[in-house]
Amino acid sequence: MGELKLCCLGVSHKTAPVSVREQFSFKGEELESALLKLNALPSVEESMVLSTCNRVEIYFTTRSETPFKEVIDFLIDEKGADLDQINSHFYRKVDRDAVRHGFYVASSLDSMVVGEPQIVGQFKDAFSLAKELGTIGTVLCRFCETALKVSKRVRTETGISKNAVSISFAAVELAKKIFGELHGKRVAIIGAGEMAELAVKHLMTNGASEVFVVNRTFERAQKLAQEFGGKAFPLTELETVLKMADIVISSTGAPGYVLTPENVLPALKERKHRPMFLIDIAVPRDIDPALNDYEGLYVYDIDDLQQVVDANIKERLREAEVAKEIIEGYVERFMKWLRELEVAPLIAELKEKAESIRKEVLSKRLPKLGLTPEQEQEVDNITRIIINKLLHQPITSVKRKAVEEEARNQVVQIFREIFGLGKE
Amino acid sequence: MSPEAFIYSTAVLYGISTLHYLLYLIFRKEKLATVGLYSARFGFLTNLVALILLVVRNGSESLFTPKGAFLLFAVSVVSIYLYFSTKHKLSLSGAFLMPWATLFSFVASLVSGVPKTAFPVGIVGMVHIVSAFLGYSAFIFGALLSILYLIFENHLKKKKFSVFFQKLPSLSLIESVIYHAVAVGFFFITVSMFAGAVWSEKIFGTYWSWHPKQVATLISWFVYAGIIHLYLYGEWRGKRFCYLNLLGLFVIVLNFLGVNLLSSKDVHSFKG
Repeated sequence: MGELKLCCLGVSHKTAPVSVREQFSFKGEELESALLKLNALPSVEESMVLSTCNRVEIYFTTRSETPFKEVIDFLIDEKGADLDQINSHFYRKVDRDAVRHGFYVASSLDSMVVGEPQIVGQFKDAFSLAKELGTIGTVLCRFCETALKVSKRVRTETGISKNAVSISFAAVELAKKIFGELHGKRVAIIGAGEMAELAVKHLMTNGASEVFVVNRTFERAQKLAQEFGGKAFPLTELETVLKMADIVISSTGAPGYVLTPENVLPALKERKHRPMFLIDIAVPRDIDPALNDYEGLYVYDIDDLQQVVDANIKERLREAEVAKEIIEGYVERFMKWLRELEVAPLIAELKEKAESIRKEVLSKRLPKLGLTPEQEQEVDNITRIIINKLLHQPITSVKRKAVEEEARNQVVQIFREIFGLGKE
Repeated sequence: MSPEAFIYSTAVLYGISTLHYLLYLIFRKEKLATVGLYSARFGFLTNLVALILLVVRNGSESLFTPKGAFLLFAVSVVSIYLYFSTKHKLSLSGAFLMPWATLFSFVASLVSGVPKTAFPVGIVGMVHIVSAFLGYSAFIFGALLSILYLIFENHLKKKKFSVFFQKLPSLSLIESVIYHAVAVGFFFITVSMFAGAVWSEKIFGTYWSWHPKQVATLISWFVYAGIIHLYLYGEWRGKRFCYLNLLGLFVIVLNFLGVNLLSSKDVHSFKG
């Protein structure tokens, strides 16, 4: 029997196209039965499966010399895949690498969009399912708990998920850069469109108070206004709306400019030059770019928003580097714990052995001395102290050595032999 | 205990703070800003201790020596900075303010702190000088933030995704912090003027003597009263408000330089 290894066999968006990922994904019932079958494999001690649309990963612990063999055979059986496919798309990680990878995944460093929050929930689900089915024990339980703790720390201490990485969120972020708090701000949407409506929704959830919907066909405006709980206006009343709105999102199919200096400037004057944020999501554009040159007007078109997104992604990657530093500390500590766990039974056995020797000797010799109960108690204490002091050094040493990468196995072996422990 | 050791450590701590804030400007890592902030905080403490030790050793007249004045200037600039920036997450402004604090504390370590003549300072004199420095520091901070505002506004408009774009919270927040800084400055300058008049009466027997410093301060006071008025009632918001603050800074600098040139024999020259 070899030493305990924590392994990860997985496939992700980084190593395989969606066609491969979907072939190996586990859903619902299938996931449960797969997890139970996996755990029934003779070499696997604990196991859990993380299956999302971007990755399928099997985390397991084993003492086998060929840790991945049985799990791969299982995948081949279960999914009807061939070995070549698995060899070319799956990554195999052991111990430190597996732990680090798991922490990266849970902290969303390995995600397609770095910092996206969904993976935390998915990781939690995988953890609780495995716990419910009883396929994980001490090691993977601790692994998952640490991963979630790390993920939380990364989220709060780095800017990894701070900046917007979608067009509609970028619009919200920019609005906040201009207005600060969005409470009490009024939004106008001209035309309709998925992205524009999404942006309005995000603005609302971030505090914007009122929505005005302008559309060429008044019925459509009314329908959309109802959805947002706002007011509908026909296109002819555009100027009235402009006078009231702080943020304007335009997404019409009009061939020419809808917002021009002619209709925006009077509104701006009426607003006493409080700033106005104009977002152009239409192609061809709705808002005359020349408006950006006027004081207090900020015009962003779809390319500008995309640039904000790109800059934010770069920022996230920068923050990911900080996150990696934080994670490394946790990987180190987890591995230390895992190694110490390995020698824990050995140490327990040693203590037990010492205790049984002590008891044996005392029960033979003590009655012959004819001591008072107090004196007997004192002798009992003294022998305990001697044993504790004697064992203290070897125990701390073997714990320390167990954590070291090299010579770990020999040291443990020698420890066994010297104290005559754990016949294998 | 001699203040010197504390002055040196202040200069070093402010230097460390400056360095980290400048690196923050380049590498944008929050950790750098945190180091910058904590060294500024520790520097503030040593700065304060140095100032107190100087006053204890050389008397309150030493506030009017070059060493005392520079120490006081550094401590008030940093206290204004710490008060506003930590409240509003404006760490970026540290890169623009801490170099000045470093310079002031460094100069303070070089110049004399021994008063040449003894004159009664008293509580009124202390209030006068401390609130004057706090007031001017707040104005300076407001002007620095105005520069940040103008850069930020420009980058928002030109779609330049710079460190200003990324790290500054929002135009409206900066604007309101500028206003608060100016209001705080105005309060302290007003206090300082009254205390100065009372103190003048104690020493010279007159509240007002058309002394150049008095005139210059009165002008600054009117300029800032005008700025606050235009902001509150004249709709001078945003960029225009920032330009007004830069004008205010210009007036203050003239005030400082002018008084140093014109009234070189007076306590306001800080020659000890």
